[in-house]
Amino acid sequence: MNWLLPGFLAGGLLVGLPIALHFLRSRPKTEIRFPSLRFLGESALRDTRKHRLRRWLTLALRVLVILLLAAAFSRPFWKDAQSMHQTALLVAVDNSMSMQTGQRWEKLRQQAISALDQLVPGDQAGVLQINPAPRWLIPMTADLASIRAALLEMKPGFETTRYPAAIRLAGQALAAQPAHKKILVWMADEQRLGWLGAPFDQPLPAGLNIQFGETAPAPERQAAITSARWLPTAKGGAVEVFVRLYSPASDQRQIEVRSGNTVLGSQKVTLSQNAENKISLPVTLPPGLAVDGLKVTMTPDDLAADDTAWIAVMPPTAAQVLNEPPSSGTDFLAHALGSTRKLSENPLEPVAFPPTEWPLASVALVQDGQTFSNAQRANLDRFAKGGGALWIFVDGSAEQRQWLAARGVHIAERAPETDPWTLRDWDTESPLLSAFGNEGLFSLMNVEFYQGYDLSGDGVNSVANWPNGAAAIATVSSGGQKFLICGFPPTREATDWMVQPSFVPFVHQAVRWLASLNSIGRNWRVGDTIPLPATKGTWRAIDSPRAEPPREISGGVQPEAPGLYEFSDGKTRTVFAVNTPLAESDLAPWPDAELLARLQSPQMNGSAPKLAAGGPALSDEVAESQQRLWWWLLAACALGLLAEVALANRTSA
Amino acid sequence: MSTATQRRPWPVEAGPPPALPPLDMQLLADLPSLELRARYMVEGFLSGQHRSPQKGSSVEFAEYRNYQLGDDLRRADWRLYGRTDRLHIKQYEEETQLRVFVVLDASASMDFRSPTATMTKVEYARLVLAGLGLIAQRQRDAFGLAIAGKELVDYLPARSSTAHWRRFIGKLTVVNPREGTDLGTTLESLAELIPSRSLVVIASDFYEDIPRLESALRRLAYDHHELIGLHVLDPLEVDFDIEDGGTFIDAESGARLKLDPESVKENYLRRFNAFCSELDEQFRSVGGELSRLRTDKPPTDLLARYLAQRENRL
Repeated sequence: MNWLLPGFLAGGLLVGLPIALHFLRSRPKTEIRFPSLRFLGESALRDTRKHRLRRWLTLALRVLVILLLAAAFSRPFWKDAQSMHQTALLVAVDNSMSMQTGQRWEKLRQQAISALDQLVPGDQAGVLQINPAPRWLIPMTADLASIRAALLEMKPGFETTRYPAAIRLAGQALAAQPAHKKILVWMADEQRLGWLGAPFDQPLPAGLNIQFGETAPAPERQAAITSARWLPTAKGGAVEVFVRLYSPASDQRQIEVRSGNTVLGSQKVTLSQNAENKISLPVTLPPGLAVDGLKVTMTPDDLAADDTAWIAVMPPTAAQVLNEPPSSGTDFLAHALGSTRKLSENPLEPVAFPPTEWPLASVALVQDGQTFSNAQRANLDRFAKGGGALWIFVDGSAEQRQWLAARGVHIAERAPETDPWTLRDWDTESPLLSAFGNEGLFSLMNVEFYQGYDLSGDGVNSVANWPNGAAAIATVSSGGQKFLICGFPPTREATDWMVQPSFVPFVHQAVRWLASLNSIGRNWRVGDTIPLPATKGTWRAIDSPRAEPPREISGGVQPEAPGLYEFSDGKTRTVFAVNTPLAESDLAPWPDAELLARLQSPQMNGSAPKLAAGGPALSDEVAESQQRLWWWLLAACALGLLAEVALANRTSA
Repeated sequence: MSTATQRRPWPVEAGPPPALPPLDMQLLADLPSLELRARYMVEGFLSGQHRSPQKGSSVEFAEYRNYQLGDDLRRADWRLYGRTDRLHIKQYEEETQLRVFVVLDASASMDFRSPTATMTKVEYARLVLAGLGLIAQRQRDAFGLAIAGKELVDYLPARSSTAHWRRFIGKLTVVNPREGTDLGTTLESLAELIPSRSLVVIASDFYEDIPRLESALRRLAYDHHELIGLHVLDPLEVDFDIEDGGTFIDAESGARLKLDPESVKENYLRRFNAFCSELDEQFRSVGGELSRLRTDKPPTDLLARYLAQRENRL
């Protein structure tokens, strides 16, 4: 018998109370002279003995009730004799993309199966999947065959490695097992990335034997396509590919661009070590070929998964600019956008805000505060939350101020001055200004402003500042959203920029940049959540190394494998390119084996842990809660109490 | 015939006599002598009675006594005055119609008094018997005494004179309860001594061998004696209200039992009541009557019953 809270056993000392009362009860030594004992005699003697016996029985019941009560509060439990010889084995499986490297997966799986083979019937085992978040593939069970089958069926995925949470969960789960021997088989490649942030100074619960897998060295050949984008031109376009080489020596690779089975371009490149290798591959699209996306492949190395990238070819953005005219005055933005109709490429055609959901593949221009307060507010919120590209002009309205403040952007109206202001500190590296050459920036510096607002906040990245140094034009990153804010309204009362020649190219470039930011154009990675419309549609993989049947979804999706995907709601069709996580390509193992060893509790001696000073071992709590002996003790206590009351009443009667 | 003991009849038209105040048992017990106690009890009891104690007419000389102021000069013995020069009053013993023999059980079990009682059982029995004797003496009935022990310890034949009363009260006073008693043997011995057709009053706790007692009672009944049993009991014996346990010691045998009164009370009362019923049955079977007396209650009811029974007898 073991006790979860043995301190309550001290309550058993209360038995002294009834015992003391029993013996302190008046026990007269008096002699009673009685006329005749003829009516007492032997039968009375028997009655007295019976009565005395009842009193002792009552005392015994009282003592028993107190002892049972103390025992119940002490939460007793039996340590299963069988569990004292049992082994609990937990296999934590790193299913991240790096496990696809070479023979890592097979080797580690064999190690895990070998450990599994050591178990005997009656032992417990379980499988914990580490990525993307730890979750039980098979909870602890005595069905060892199912564990083996699960391990044999499993394949590494494309997730990013995160070890700390998984190893803590595995440690706690094993500690909760009543088994005598507890083994954690850590089936992982100990990627450095995975151990970042792990608290090595906090060992796992005592009594665990952690078996780390054999750490594989970094492979000799490892390069990864870190990004790829489609740069359309009049006759076709070019694919810009960035490749990072992780192996120490330079390497030569063949890069191909395909659409379906058609090779659209190919190039042999020499990669420099430890640097982003930028390769631009001109692609000629055959006439009549409808291209949804492109697949960029590189000569595979030890980790082939990151040698392929997909690009969603963007549709023209002209039809995707949402612009609501200002409530009063001239809509200079509409004019500026309309001027692109004469251009043969990328015309920007503004359309009014639709009354229903705004398409996420749009750039929305919000010229005044009306949109923040009227019926469009819900659409605006959903559009921003879904990753839609926003350009906001500040007019200082209360609703706009509140909306921006909720996203970490604070505005303060500038005090009017007699002389107009000009902007300074233009960020020449900003993609917003890529349409202006160094000399073209002078035209921006002469723009005069008469009304404006200082922008401030943690996520505010200034593009240009007011004379006092406060941000006037800024990009804002907030909660996964990125939008452009101008600290002035596009009116003549505020500025003369709209009549300056620099206004139209700035607007064009700003809209294109915003369009490149929106959810459709993003280079999505495995593990990201892609926002989708609230209406239900079909999600389908166009091209992916992992086959996935089409399914009905809405709101968002988290792809588990890279590839080219499409979402169709019957009216519109959107293509998404999902690529492998960037950091997962760095296969360098955790360099400090000693730190890993620290996770092993020094109390590991093969036996179940004793009660720690800070409290009972988790396995004891589990055993106690499973057995619930306290309940039976309380029931026995109640019965004893009833018997005591009945007996005491009878005795006193 | 003495007129001193006559009582004025209670006028019928005045209705029933007023209720007497209850007899103060504590006061009774505090009185210094048995005679005083008996007189106190009987005077109080008889103050409401109206029946003349005188019955019959034939008298015979019993004794002289000194003249006292107020005595009827007609009862003076003038001849004796002439011889002795002292005035004496002649007293006559009337020929009684009733002989009463009182039997006192002087066993050790009678020497018991519980805290709630004012006197021991033997003291109470003595008082009752003395009272009966006093009534008998006043009624000019002959009364005798027998003290029961292992055998007949003492015996006083039935007389009705004042001198006899003195002897009677004297013997009662000096009774010393012994260890044990054999009431059956005593009664059988008594049956040999007393004339038939007497009234035999037995004051005892009757902790006897019942068959033997039954045999003795039948023997007395055979001689046409009328039997009255006075079952003298202490309240503790009747109620068994004992809280604390301890060692119970039998008053007669000295046997010891360590008992818990709480646990044995129920059985005790059951057996005790069965004994009382059996005793009642024994007396009824011989035509007698058994009265149960508690030492914490005055025995006036008994005295009334005695008078009623005497009247029936006459």
